Amino acid sequence: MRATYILRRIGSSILLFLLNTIIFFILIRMVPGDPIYAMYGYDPAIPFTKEDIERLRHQYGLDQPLPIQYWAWLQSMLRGDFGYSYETKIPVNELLRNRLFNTLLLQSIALFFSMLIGIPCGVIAAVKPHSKTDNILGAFSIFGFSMPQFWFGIILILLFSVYLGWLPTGGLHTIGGETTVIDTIRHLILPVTTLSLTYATAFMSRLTRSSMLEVLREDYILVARAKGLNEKVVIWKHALRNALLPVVTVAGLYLAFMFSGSAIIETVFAYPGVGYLMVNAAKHRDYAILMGVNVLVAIVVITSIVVTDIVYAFIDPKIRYT
Amino acid sequence: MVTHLPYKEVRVIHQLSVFWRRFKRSFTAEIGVFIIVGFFMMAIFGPQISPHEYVKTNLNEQNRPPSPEHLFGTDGLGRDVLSGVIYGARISLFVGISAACISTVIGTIVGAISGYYGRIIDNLLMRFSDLFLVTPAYFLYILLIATLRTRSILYIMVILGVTMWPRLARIVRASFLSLKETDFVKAAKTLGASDRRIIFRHILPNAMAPIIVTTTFNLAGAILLESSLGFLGFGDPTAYSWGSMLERASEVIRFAWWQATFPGLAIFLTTLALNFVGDGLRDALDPRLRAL
Repeated sequence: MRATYILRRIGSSILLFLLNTIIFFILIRMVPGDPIYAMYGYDPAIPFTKEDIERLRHQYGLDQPLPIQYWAWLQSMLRGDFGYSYETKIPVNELLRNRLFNTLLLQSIALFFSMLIGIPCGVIAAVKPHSKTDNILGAFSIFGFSMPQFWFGIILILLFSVYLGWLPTGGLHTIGGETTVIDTIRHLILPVTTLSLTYATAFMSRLTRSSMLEVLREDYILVARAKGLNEKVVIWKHALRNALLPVVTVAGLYLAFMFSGSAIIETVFAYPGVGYLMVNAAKHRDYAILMGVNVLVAIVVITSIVVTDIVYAFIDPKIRYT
Repeated sequence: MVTHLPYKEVRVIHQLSVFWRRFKRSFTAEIGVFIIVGFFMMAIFGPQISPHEYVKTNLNEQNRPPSPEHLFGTDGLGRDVLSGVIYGARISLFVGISAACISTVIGTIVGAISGYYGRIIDNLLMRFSDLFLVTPAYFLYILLIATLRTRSILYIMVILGVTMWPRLARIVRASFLSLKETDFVKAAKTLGASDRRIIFRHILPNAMAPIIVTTTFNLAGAILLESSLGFLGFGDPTAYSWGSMLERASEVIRFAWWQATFPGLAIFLTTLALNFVGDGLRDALDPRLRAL
């Protein structure tokens, strides 16, 4: 039962992935203008002749029917070849590899700090639901949800970089300087603060709160209290350990969704990650990069969703295998 | 002989007043309503209350810091930022409301069909909505917008609307799944009511609470997304929305702080107020949702 569930889950996610790539493949082919112009630029002073375009279209296989083009793309994608950037002619692979590491670095540090702050906040809120503390923490989490990330980042840059001059305004390393750990940390402080103080911490604290509320209703908590255990031990040891399970699983899932926000945060801080790469590629209509980023993100997101589902199936016996 | 029980006048409490009493219990929700009404007033009476005409450029007064004449300073074309924030409320609220409405209609219909009919239709629709859920929002928007010929605010509105519905669809589907098994629905079915009648007259009114709450949150989300896209440079460059003000401001952020600060503050306050209202609505309409 469980094995078939897992197999079906993996099968449907592969289908989902293929559907995703097909849709984006078609979308990109629907773009106004010939891809040849996107690759070589268009200069009205030296227009391409019709023969030039025909020749180039043939060379790149653009004169083939769409399904054949897609099949060719899929084959090279499975070999790990995403082609070359239209603009810089650098292999997309190479670009993605460096950028992915930077994005994961930033996002996982931010996730760590938001769990560090968010989980205790959620526990404190859940201990006395609907109390003053709970309401204040709830209001703070709404503040976090509502804060435009880019605006908060800009305000931090204005305050700490432009006026106080304490921290660099963006990037990951000082240009022309030596790449040291301290230098990298200095560059990471503002983006990490922005990311964790806006959406992430609020999300973690809400998640912990609702999970804790559920656990605190359980009989074993009543038993622990009846045994005369210290309330602190009951809350932070007995309850939190059990409440953390869904929090940690969802945190894994959430890391995938942080990719989405990376476009914003990385643009604000000119941070060399996947999001910034994507925004710039879209501005320059560099479709090779766009397609590569899409595949990368789809793989990371779908994998993390499937892994979360499977982990859940193992942990929670109540789950229905449908 | 029929004996009448002693009759006592019962004061009828309308459902709305029950709702209002519960809603008012939350201090933050009240503040939220206050701010929202303020912004709507600003949008409606924009031309009357703005100190300057925003569309008028004044090249003698470029990038001036805040002063008594221009409370929020001026932008790169000498336009008054305060007037811009007031005019921007129109576009931003309009985009938010339209996008939220589109997503509510799609999400409700998809969720209702999926939950009511189940089986293969449910499976197909849910896998389709998964497709939106697994593609990170900004990547989808940027790709979609990059494929457009022109960047009109109307397109952005529609794109936001047609991509935000899956979450609502899941919520509606869940309520339909449980409501479909209730006795009153079975009774209606036995009486020969058509599927359409059961869906719209019997089930949907009972599933309204989460729909209203999610729509409020989506409204806040749409306003936030529109301005974020504007900031990234994928907004409508000709529209006077808060997002496009921020796009222009981001180029001069190093020396003209006021151009980004005030439109950003307006976005923050609007989304904050909407989220407060959404929270209050959830508590008032369906206290069971509170724990989630």
